[in-house]
Amino acid sequence: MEYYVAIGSIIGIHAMLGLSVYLVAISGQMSFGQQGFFALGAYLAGLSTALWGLHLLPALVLGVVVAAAVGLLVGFPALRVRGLYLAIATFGFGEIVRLAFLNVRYTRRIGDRVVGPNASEGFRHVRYIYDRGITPLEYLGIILLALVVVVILFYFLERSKLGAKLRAVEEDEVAASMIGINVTRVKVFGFTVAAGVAGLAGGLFIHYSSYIDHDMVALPLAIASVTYPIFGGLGSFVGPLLGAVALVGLTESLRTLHGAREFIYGALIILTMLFRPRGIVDEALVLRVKGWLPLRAARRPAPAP
Amino acid sequence: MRRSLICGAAGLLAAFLLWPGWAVAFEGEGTVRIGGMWPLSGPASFFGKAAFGLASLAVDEINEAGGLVVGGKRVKLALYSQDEACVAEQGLAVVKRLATVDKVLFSLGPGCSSVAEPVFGTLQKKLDDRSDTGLQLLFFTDIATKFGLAKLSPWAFRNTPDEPGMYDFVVKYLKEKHPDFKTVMVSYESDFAHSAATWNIALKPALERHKHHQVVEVVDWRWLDNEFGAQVTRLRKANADIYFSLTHTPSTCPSLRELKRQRVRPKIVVGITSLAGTEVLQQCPDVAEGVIAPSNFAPITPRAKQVADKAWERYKADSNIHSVPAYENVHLMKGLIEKAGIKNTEESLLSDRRKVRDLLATVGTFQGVVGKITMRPEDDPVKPRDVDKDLLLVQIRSAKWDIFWVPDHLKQN
Repeated sequence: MEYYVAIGSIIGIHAMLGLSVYLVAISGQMSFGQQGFFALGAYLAGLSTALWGLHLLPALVLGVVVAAAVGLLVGFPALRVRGLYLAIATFGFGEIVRLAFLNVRYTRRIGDRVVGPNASEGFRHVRYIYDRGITPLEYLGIILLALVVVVILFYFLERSKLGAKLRAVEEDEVAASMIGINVTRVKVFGFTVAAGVAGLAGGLFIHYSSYIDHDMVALPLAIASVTYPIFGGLGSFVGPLLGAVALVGLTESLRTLHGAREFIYGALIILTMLFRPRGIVDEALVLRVKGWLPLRAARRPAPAP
Repeated sequence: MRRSLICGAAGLLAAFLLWPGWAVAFEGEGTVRIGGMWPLSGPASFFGKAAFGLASLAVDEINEAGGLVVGGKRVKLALYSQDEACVAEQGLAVVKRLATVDKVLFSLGPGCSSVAEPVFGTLQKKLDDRSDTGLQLLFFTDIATKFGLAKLSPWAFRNTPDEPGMYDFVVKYLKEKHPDFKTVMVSYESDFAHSAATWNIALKPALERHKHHQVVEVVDWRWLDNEFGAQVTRLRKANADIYFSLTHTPSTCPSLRELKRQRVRPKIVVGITSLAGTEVLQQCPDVAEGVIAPSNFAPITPRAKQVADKAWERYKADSNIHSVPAYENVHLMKGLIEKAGIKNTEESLLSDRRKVRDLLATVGTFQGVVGKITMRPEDDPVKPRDVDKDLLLVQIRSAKWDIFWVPDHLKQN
């Protein structure tokens, strides 16, 4: 049971990271820097509970707020560029954060332990959940609750005017600006919210793992976070959720194949890109599924005579 | 029809994804399950596969000799190995799998210190603390070498090198044997916990303590980098007498090639402990010629030679400073399991783990492949549940590891 709880926890955290990339992607951008916001959220939330003695909830909120604030600051200059240039700029941001944590020392001795970010030694002893008797199953509940909150946010966002504006910017920035959409504001909004979601994932992760170091927020995490929405699909927020479930699940179920699983993993992604370039849950599938739903069908207007 | 097909495919995919490999329910019939988590894929798999091979050899030897006696019954050892791929998150899943799906009595590994950090961090911190929900699984680690890891939990024990002690000896040795070599330059991998810790926690304090050498240059790179021109140029300008290359083979070989290309010729090159295996001999024996490495293992005794030959013959496993402890640990644990009075049932698993843990904490000195090994007690203020063992210095000569220095009592063997 605890094994599935562990997998569920990792899926929940990675799904949030995938949703963070997805939100940037639906405004037509691609970010390879969400791991930077993940790291900010992780370190801030970890410091809050392990060093400053805060409760988990304000610690997570602090991580989200700081990550979102940095997202806002980074968003304005970064979103002046687009496409490949934006991908490189955001990856550069992720590397700056990572290298900053490689050098940051802010420790305090608590009992016989040195707690706090300790440069390349990493940030140990973030044992809030273990020391307070929170079981892994209960913590999975906390992760899933956070995920549900994020999903509800995305659900309403996608159905709101703002969501339509994000999609419009993705389709054609020039056309969107011509109908009165403030493209920069919309993109920066998406980037800021996405940064906050990544910060939340980071805060939850450090309390799950009890430890983080600069190497855990490097390029592989950036690639994984981008892969979830690309593989799962960009047609709906269900895409990155499906991507995280499928790819983390695949990593686990093929574990006994050792090196061979990397080939299978890679081949699966290539095949998906070949046959479903917008991911499994693409816009066409979303429309088709909506057509299957009886309520939707009932509401559908009668065809023109 | 098409909708059914899609739903069916989705269901099959979900079932496949949630199937935990080839795990079976706990039976406890005729076997004692032991676990191991190592990097069996990815760039660090050389170490993981070697440790897996040596652990498998020890299990084979025990089973071929009739197994072990538990509760008056003769049972076999069964090794459940999992690939942690040197990725922290995978390690966090694997440890739960070993503990709750494979239901092992104890586990060897992890291989990477960056995996051991979160894995040990999520173990129970205080024994008998009911408010602590940390995992209660005994680890007897063979590879993860970063200083201080066993301090993280009373469930973590290690048979790994004492690197601060080793580099202290190396610095002292160089000071005594080569007093005229005074300048030192260093390279390490900033993104590899073991490498960075070897510099920051082992070598740097030793150099400061002995107050003989002057550090004239320190460069760093990432462990999978493949371009070292700028850093080696700085080393060339430093032109120190002694070069400490605290990097692992994937970056050591190309950096040593760059040193040769730029004609950097330190008088002595000392490597990281992990270098003392066959990987470096396969990849760059030419440029690594003359490199010295501190180690706890070399095939210098008849038993060590026999183990190394058998491991290679059966599993193509390299016997080195990190893999041989896996072999030693399995043999030690076999005796402890027999003594601990475990019941070896699913219901008794937690108390069985605790019994074996408590016995391991009192083990004191035991026989290793090369010499005696001493487990430090739990209340040791510096490195509880870590070991002290014989230090050797080995050197690459004619594309082979050869003895550079051994303690007198091992020379007699």
